[in-house]
Order: sequence, then structure tokens, then C-alpha cells
Amino acid sequence: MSERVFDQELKELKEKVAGLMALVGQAFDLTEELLKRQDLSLGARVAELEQKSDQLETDLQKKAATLMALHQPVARDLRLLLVSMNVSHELERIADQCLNISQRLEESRASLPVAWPPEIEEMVSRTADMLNSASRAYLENNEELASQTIGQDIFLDDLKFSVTNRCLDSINNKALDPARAVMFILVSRHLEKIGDLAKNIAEESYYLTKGQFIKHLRLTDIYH
Amino acid sequence: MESSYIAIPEGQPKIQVENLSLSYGPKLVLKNISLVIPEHRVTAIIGPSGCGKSSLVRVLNRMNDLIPEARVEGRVLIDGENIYDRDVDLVALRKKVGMVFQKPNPFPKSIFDNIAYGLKIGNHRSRSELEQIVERSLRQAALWDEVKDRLHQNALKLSGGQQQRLCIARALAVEPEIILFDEPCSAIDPIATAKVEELIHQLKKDYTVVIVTHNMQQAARVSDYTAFLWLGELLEYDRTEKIFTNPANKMTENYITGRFG
Repeated sequence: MSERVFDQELKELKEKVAGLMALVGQAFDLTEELLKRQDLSLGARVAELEQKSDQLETDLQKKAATLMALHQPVARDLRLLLVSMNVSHELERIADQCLNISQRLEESRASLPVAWPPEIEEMVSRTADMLNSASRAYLENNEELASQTIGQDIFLDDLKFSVTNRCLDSINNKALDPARAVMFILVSRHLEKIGDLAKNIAEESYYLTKGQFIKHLRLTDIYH
Repeated sequence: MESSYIAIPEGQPKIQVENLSLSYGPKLVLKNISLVIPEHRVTAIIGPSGCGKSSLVRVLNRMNDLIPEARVEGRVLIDGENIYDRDVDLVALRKKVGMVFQKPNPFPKSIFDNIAYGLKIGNHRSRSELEQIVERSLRQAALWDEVKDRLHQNALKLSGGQQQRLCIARALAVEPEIILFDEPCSAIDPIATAKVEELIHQLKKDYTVVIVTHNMQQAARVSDYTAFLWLGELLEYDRTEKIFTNPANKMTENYITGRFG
């Protein structure tokens, strides 16, 4: 049977989500670069990408709502539309978090350059991996990748607590400038939030593939 | 083809179809079907043209008996009694299991007589009793307000949607326990369809409803359980919300998403 018009529309919608993923991925890469080089001029480009992500998200939501109204989809078609709407929203929020990081650095301009705590460096790397695997889980309908991504979130939580504790101790011991300590804590919170949002994308991708809601479940609950 | 998935519904079973096969002469149209239809629920039967939907629903009140070459194997239990037993009273069965057809088919009589007709057969009821039943049935069918001032007008003057609700009122008048709808909205407009669908929602409080429909959205809107038939086989039977969000069978998914059929 030849491809239905609706299938073509769904394919285009997924391509739009892929486009938003690429754009948000770029924003994250720039943020990573910004953290590494502490070159504040990169912040303008992050802000530009964040604005583009807002526009793309709005376009996607409109497109998905139109497809729902006109085609009244069910089953996997319905799941693809719902998930694409949710994923685009999470992506836009990731771009917001990238902008937040850039703004935290801008606000701490006087304290730069800084040597990042090793936990933050690890958080950047883990967040990048989560974002990548969550995106692939959606694009490739891969529930394995989705589960793996979800399982990674706990490490980011631990690392964020570790940063917070380390910074509070350093403030108490007067080993660290409080302004820098606050910046470390806030940056770690933004990274941890990106991890949360990547986890949400992975959960949505799991639903897309398996038709099963797994939000708020533990991994052991998913597998049993 | 993937294996079939047949759920056991919650609640009191009203109809139990067991290993049912139906053939018209050499042609096997229903193949070893088993399913349980729960009481006070709406069960939709969907599937492509020629899959056996109407045949299945007609088995439930032995309408296929009217087809000389029809042969039924297996059992259909209603309240635990096999309706294909030799000593079953067909008039009593069809009183218990009412049916509404695809095209409205009122008698060329008055609105009142259309409903009173079935009641007059074999029963001597007073005029006031008949009037009460006619009013109750028309109210149940959400038609009373539209026709109360012209009960003695010819029913054929009603609109298509009103005629279909009159047929529903006529089916309700004999106080059935089960109502079978065979594509009840295929010949009426969207406004009338919405009224019939709303009515089906109301009816399930008092009746067990089985509906055959070609309209997938209608099955999704009105039913609690959905059965998917394909080439005479029951491929999937489950809660409607499950069928329309995450069906277990690939064929069901391909059908409801419009990829074949």
C-alpha cells in the first residue's frame, strides 16, 4: 500500500522534532564549551539558539494539534503525536537551562576564570550522554536506550548533592569565595535539571515504543 | 499473523460466546470465536467489510436462523442459557435481545403505533398502559420532546435521525435486556449520530449494548470493550481505551490506524 498522507505528515513532524533536538544539542555543546573555556561571548549564541528553540517548539505544538484535530489518530499514531509534543516541550526547557547556565556565568563574570569541581565536569559529560541517548531513544524507537537513560539520572542527583555539600563545607571553612560557591551550586542544579528533562524524554520514548507509562516508576518496577 | 489477544472483561457476564463458528453453505464466516460480553457495558465490534461483524451480532439473537444455509456450531449463553438449545422460544429470545438496524425502518404507521405495535402482539394492554409505555420508550430514546405533540403523525415524516431513535424506542418498548445495534448511524447525519451516541451512553445503565460499527471513532467514543474481527476470526478483544492507545495485535493496530481495511 502506498504511504498515506498522514504517514508523510507524521514523518515530517518527527523530522521537526529531530531538528529541534539538533538545535538544543548545539545549545548544550556551546554551553559545555562555555563552561570549559569560560568565554562569555559564547553566551550570545546560546541565547540565540534558545530563542529559536522557543519558536520551533511553538511550531511543533501547533502542527501536532492540527494533526490531532484533522486525523483523530489512535494507537501508535496518537502516541507519536502526544510524545512529540511532550518531547518538544522538554527540549525547549533544556535550551532554557543552557541559557540559565550562560546567565549564571555572566552574573559571576568577576569570579571568572574558575576551576570547576570535578563533580561538575563529570555532570557535564553525563548530561551530554543522557541527552544524546534520550534523543536516540525517541528517534530510533529504542526502549533499551530509553531505559538506560532513565537509569543514569540517579548519578546526576548524587553528583549535585556532592557539589552542594562540597561548596557548603568550603564556605564554612572559608576555603572558597561564597560567590563562586553559589555559582557552582546553581550550575550543578541546572545540569541536574537537564538530566531530569533528558530522563523525561526517555520516559516519553519508552511510552512511544511500548505504550506503557513509566513516569514515577522505579527501574525495577518497569522490568517486572 | 500474530496470536490473538482476548481479554476477560470485568463485571457480570451477560453473553458468553463459546467456540462459535458460523457458515453460510460452504463459506465459513465466523471461526471458533469465544468472548464474554459484560452486563451493562457497551461492546463494539469492529473490523473491515466482510469480516463477520454483522454475522456475529446476528448470532446473538438468532437472526441468522432466517438464512436457510446458515449453520452454527458452538454455544451462545445469555444469562448462562444456551440460546441455540432446541427448546428455546425465539419470540422470548428476541424480546430479550432487541435489535436496531443500519437503516431506520419504521412501519408506515403513526409514531404511536410504531411503538405500540410490538406490545399489542400477544398481549392485551389497556390504552393507558400503552400510552405510558410509548411515552417511557420515547423518553428513553431522547425523542419524546420532539414528537410528543404529534404522536399520531406518520412516522415516515420524521427525519432520518428521528426515525432511527424511533426504532430504538420501539426496541426499548418490549423491555429487552440486551440491545444489538448494527451500524446504527451509517445512514444518519452527524448531529443525529451524536444524539444516538449519547443515547447509547445512557442506555448502558439499564441494558447490555453490543454495537457493530465501521466508524472507529464511534467505537472509541461509545464503547467500554472493543472486539476486532478479521476474516471471521476474533484477533483482539479488550478494553476500548487499551485497543485505541496500545493494541496488543499488530493487525488491530494497522486496522485502527487506517493502514488497511
